[in-house]
Formats: sequence, C-alpha cells, structure tokens
Amino acid sequence: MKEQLCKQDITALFENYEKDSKLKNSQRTVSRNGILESAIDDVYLKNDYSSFSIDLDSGDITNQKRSGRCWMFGGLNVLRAIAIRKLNVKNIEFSQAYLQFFDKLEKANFFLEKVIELIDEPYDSRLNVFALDSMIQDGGHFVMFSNLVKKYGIVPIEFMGETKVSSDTGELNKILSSLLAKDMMILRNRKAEGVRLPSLRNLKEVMMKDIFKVIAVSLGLPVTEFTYQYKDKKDKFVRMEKMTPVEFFNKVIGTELDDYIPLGDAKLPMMKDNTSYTSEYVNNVIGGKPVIFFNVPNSVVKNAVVESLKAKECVWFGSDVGAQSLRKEGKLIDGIYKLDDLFDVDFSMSKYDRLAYRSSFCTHAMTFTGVNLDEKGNPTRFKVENSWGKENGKDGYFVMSDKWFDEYVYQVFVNKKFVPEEYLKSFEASKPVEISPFDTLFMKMD
Amino acid sequence: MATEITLNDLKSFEKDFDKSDKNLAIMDAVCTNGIVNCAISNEDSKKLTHAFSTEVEGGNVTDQKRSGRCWMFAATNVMRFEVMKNLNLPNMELSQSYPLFYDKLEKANYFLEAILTTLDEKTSSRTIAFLLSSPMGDGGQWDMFADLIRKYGICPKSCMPETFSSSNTLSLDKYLTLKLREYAKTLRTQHEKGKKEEDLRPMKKKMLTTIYRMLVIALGKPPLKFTFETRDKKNNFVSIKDITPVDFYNTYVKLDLSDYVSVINAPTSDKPFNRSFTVNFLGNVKGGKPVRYLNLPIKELKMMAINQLKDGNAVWFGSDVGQYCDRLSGKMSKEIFNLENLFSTEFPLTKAERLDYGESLMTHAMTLTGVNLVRGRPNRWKVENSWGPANGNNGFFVMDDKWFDEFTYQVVINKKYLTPEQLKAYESDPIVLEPWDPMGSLAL
Repeated sequence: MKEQLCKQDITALFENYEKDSKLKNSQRTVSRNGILESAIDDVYLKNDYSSFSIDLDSGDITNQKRSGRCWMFGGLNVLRAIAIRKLNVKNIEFSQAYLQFFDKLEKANFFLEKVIELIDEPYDSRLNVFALDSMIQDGGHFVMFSNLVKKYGIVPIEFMGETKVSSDTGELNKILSSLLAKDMMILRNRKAEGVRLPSLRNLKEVMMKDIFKVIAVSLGLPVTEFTYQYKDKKDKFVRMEKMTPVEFFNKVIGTELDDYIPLGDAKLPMMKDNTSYTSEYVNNVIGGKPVIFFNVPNSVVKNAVVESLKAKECVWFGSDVGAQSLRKEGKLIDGIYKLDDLFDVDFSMSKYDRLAYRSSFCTHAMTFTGVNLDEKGNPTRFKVENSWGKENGKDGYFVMSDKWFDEYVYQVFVNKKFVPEEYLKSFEASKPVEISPFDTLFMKMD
Repeated sequence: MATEITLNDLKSFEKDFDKSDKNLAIMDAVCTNGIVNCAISNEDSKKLTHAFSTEVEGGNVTDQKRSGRCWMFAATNVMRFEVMKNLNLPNMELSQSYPLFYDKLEKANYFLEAILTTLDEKTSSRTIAFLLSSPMGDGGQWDMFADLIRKYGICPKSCMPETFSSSNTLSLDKYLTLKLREYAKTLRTQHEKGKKEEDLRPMKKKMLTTIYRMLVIALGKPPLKFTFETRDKKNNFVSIKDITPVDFYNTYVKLDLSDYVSVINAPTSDKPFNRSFTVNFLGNVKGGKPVRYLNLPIKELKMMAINQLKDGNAVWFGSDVGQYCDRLSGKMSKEIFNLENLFSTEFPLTKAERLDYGESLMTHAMTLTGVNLVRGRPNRWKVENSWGPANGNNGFFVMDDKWFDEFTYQVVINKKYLTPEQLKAYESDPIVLEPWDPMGSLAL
C-alpha cells in the first residue's frame, strides 16, 4: 500500500469484505440492534450468577446519579458496612454531599497552590493544561477519600442530603472551572508584575472566599455538630448526643484509614513489582497523604481481597467498568462481547499493553462485598456493590467473573493485616517514585 | 396616597424594589424555579430528621388518591393496627370504599332532612346557601366515621376494593350534587304550593332509591357478609368465613368508639377553653351521635397525644396541611420556608387571627404515629399520611413541634387520658356553632 488510499485499495477493501459471508449477517443485526447488543454471548445471560458462598451485609444500594463521586461512594460503602455491624442496624447511609463539599474546597486550594508552584512555566505547558482540565472535576482516588475523612469526618445522610447540584454536578464544575481559570490568570499576571509569593497567598485567601460562596450556595453548608439517633435491629432506641463529624467517625467507625494499603496490578513499561509510584499533581488535600500505586503480582491482589471478605471486610477497588460489561444486567464478564466474531477482527491485547496505550485504565471505583469460592477455595466470581442505584444490576449489585478481575481490576485497598508480610515490608520501606501525572495510572475515577 | 394608584406611586414602588439588589437575585431565582422551591431552606430542612424516640407500629402506607377520604384513611389506619395485632398479621388494609358508599348514602339523607327542616327559610338565606353550597363533598370528621362504623361495621380492603370512582370521586360527587340540588328545589317548591314537611317526607324514599342506584353503579355493591383469607406472620393460613361487617368490627377491631373523644384547640375569643361544642348541620348519619368537641389549650392536647403514643396507640388528628408543608420531603415546619426573607416582609398572624380572618382551618386528617422527646418534651412528631409512598419518607411525614402548636386543631383521644374535670367539660351541654364556623370544617 502507498501513503494514500488509492482507488484500487478501496476496491480491494470492498472485495475483501464481500468475500466474508459471515459479515453480511453481522451487518444486518448491527444496523438494527447496535454493535454491543449484537455481540453479546447469550450463554452469560441465562445464568444470573447471583449466589455467593461469602456474601456480606452491606446496606441499601446508593446512587451517585449524574456526578463523578464513585470513589467517595465506594469509600463510604466500606465504612458503613463497618458501622452496620458496630451499631447493629439494618441500614445506614453516610452523606456523600458532605465530603463532596470539602472535596471541592480542597481541590480549589490544591489547584491554586499548583498554579503558584508552576507559575514560571508557560501558561500552556502540559502541567498547566492538566491542572486546568482535571483538578476541579469530580473524580478521585481512595487516598483522596481518606484524606477528606481524616480531616473532616463523616455525617449520616440525613444531616446533609442530596441537593439538585450534588446529584448533577455539571453546572457547578463548569462554574468553578471558569472561576479558577480567572484566578490562575490573575495570579500569573500579578507575578509578571513582580508580586511576591506571600502576597500571592494573600490573594489566594480572597479567591478562596469566592470559591466558598459558590460551593455553599450550590451544595448548602455542612453541619459542624449534630445529635444522631436511631433504632437498632432489636428495636432499641439509641441517641448519640451532640458531636462533631470527626467525633462521629471515631465513635462509629474508629478504623485507622492509613492502615489500608494499595495493592495494584497496573504495570506500565519499566515498572517493577514491589515498588511504589506517585505523582504530586494528583490529590485534593494539601498536607494529606500522597496517592500511591504499589504494584504486586495479580495473585497477591486477589488473595488479599478474598482474605478480607472472609474476615467480613468489604474492599474498595478500581477497575475499567466500561470494558466487557453489561450495565443493565450488572455483569462484568470477560468474553461477554464476542467482538472478534462479530467483525471477524482480532482485538486481543494484553492488560499492561492496554494500559500503556491508553485503551483501558481505572475509570470507576466500587466495592467488593462477596465472593464465590469453589471446593478448593479458589474464587469463581465476585459480588460487587455499585453506586448506580437499584435499576442497574441485581438490585444494584454486579457480578464479576474471576477472569474479568484478572483483566480489568487495577487496584484494591485492603487492611494491612491481609497483606503478606514480605509485601507489607517492602511497601513500608519503599520510597515512592515520582512519575508523570499523565500516565494512565493517575486517571481519576468517576 | 390617593385613592387610585398614580404613575408616581408606581415609580416609588419600583424604586423601593430596586433599592435592594437582593431582590433582583431573588426575582431571577423565583422566576425560573417558583416560589416554594426558592423558599425552602435546605439548611433548616435537614435539621428536621425522620427519627423518633417513641414510635408506634403500623402497616404499609396507604393512598387516598384523588378523593377527599383522608378522615376515613386516618381512622382505618388506626383501626387496622388492631386487626393486625389481633390476627398477628404482617400488614393489612381496611376498605375505604365500603365506608365511602354508606357515607354518601347517609349524607344524601342528612341533606334532604336538613332541607325538610328549613322549608320556611328564604332560598337566599345564609343557611340555605350553606346547605346548597356543597351537599355531597368527600370530607368528614372523626365522629362521622364513628357513626358509620357503629351502623355498618367495616371490612378488609380485599372484600370491597377500590374502584375508579372511589379513587377519583370528582364525577360521582358532581352528579350526586346535581341530583340533590334538584331534590332540594322540588321539596321547597312543593312546600311553597302548600305541602307540609310530613307530606313531603314520603318523597324522600324515591329520591334515595335513585341515589342508591347511582352509588352502586359507581362503587359496586357493598358486601353484607364476606370471607376474609390471608396468611399471618408465621405463615399460617387464616380464614374467617361468612362474617358481617359489624361482626368483623366487633370481633377483630374491638375499639370501643364511645371511649374516643375529639379534643380541639380553637384559641379564638368566641370559644372558651374547657367547654364543649357542637356544630349545626354537621354530620352524615341521621340518628347518630352529633359531633362534639372539647376545646382545650394546645399544651393539654399535646400531653394527651404523647401519653396515648407512649402506650403504643396512634392518634387521629386534624390540621391545616397546606401550611408550610414540603410535600416531597414530607416536612411540616414554618422554619424551613424562608418566605419572609424571600419577600422581605413578615407573616405575623397568630393562630386565633388566622382562624378569625379565614386564613386557616382544619383541612386534613392524618395519624400521629410517633414523637421525639428530649428530656420529656416533644420537638417533632411522626405523621402517617395517606398520600402514598412517593411523598415524604416512604409516605411518612415529620412535623416540628411549633407547627403542631400553630396548625393542628384536633386530636382524637381515649377518654382515659382526660382528667375528671376535662371529661365533665366534654359531657356538659355543648355550645352550638353556626354551620359556617371554622371549627365546622371537614377533613379532606
């Protein structure tokens, strides 16, 4: 073939296509039913795979609606499973809007600090563009969740329920983005006029006041103190007198969030197992813990998940939920779409190659709440609590095949007691290597 | 200011409006979202939570749909709980179309009798105008429901289920009203021609025969006997065969209706506390017990309600539900409506002033099923409504204590929670109120 597509090439492409009689069938079904619908392997539709040998109590399903807060929902779902057991209640839900409020506030401060840090770079440098494009959006990582909870605590949902804006964040993000873009411009212009750092920070203080106004009008003010009362499973009435959100967290959860260790299976070229990677440009709370990737073999990741579930602990994880999945039916099964057959094209690519070439990466955080183990104790499928409401999946729960775990789960957070000694040691000893925030590892989940 | 609005006045109104730039921001928000959506304060709303230290058990939330049967729903919600207890059922609902049928029939008779006893009044008199204004609404009162139960009993919902017209009473009421006004005209014209009350009463039978036919066509025939079958909490089969609605009430509900009295709070100067009242021309069952209210200070009403709830029994109550009520979240509180701030004005009328100036009266009956007590004092109340599970917290509403003070007019209380003095006041000769008195309003 030459550089350009010439007439003969086009004719040859036509002829090649016509030759393959199977494609005619594909064309007919696809034109009427769409691509993915036509590629579904219906073997997987017949069984709903909804029983699990280990199946934890995890409360009523939640709904992040039109927002990118999956990582908070996942985190809060892990915490409430602890609270449900501790308080012996049927259900409890923690306010996502409460954390969202402080996430936006911290992200704005994080952005302005990075603007000051990068003030000598050209305004359109890749890092500056990255900051403008991504820093105020909804997405996040587990560590960003734990940074917020450690600093601000949590509150039951009745003390800060959803509002129009918390459930549909498009408008707020757009308005905050324009305000921050203006702030960036002002800071850079003042710097060019010779204004020094301390004065720039004074300017930041003024800017944060405006940001606070926008967030507070949109989401309402978070509570600072509250009295919580509930009835437990035995119908016993309990009242917890006035406390702050941090005190509430300490009382009903009390878990040390820093004990949750990231175990990753997301190796970019030149990355090694047993090594931590981080980027200082991906976070929300200045002064909080860094977002870290710690790579270990896939079997170690999976084993830690199974051990956690056996000990009745739910597990937060990040994966590429859009790959090989049925949203409505709630199925995450590798091979559910027979695209190779439909198009007569080979799509195969390895997990790490997909990650390096940006065809798949962590897009969404959810929670493992169960697993089915065969007679040898090996997992055959996992139960997944999602935050897409009850209309998707089986009452909101998804099922993930063991193979899908291998291919599309990139990271989990488990308590350090479930991490084998040798890995824990190297995690604690390893100094995180700073890598580029543009790598697919640091795409924020939403 | 002159008698007319001058151009200068308009200019000064506008100047006053433009003086505060807050007004412009509020105008923009209200024009797009409406008054209530902009007035409800999320901050204050979230403080009013649906959690209560004292709660009574009950069944699943019911739905009166497009009808004014709240008073029947609230009463059957209290009564069905007795059936659930007595038969150990996880849930059950009593028929609301069964009492609706007999309520309509009795109301028709009550109206014709009222016309027969006012034949000498002018058609333009306030009494006749009142009688003709709404002879066949859906609304009612606790005492009216008690009369229906005593005479007709009750049956489970499955034995007389909803029909199109029981859930949408508009057309049925319209055509029954048309007929009743025609009958009023016939009776009064015959009287003008010289016929006496005794000569006219025989005509009533033919009239009621027609009303009965219309009712059966719209609502179906009420059962004289029925069989009720279900499963109890232990999954045992329960079968109650060939029972009359009156026997069903006496066997499975068993509440002694003469134990329950209506206590009202009407703090207007014309109604002394610790006196009983009745209302002229308010009722449905001719020959039943006339309505009777005992007027007490609001504190005493609340004390009785709390005592009844603490003993595990729900409380039928009447209030003006349209005031400061966020239907969606099911929250009733003046605090969550920032209307005064929105319009930069005050709404300072007191409860008595609202009654006197036609701003508020009892419009709706619901059931109190819980209360939150802090050091023995109520700060909010749990309310079971009959607007289906899509409103409020799965159909349940929460009312703050201030709202109770301001907009609750009536509670129905077991006599045992009344002091001997209160009971004596209830039983004393009632003061008769005019039919158009605000305390004569019906719950819809």
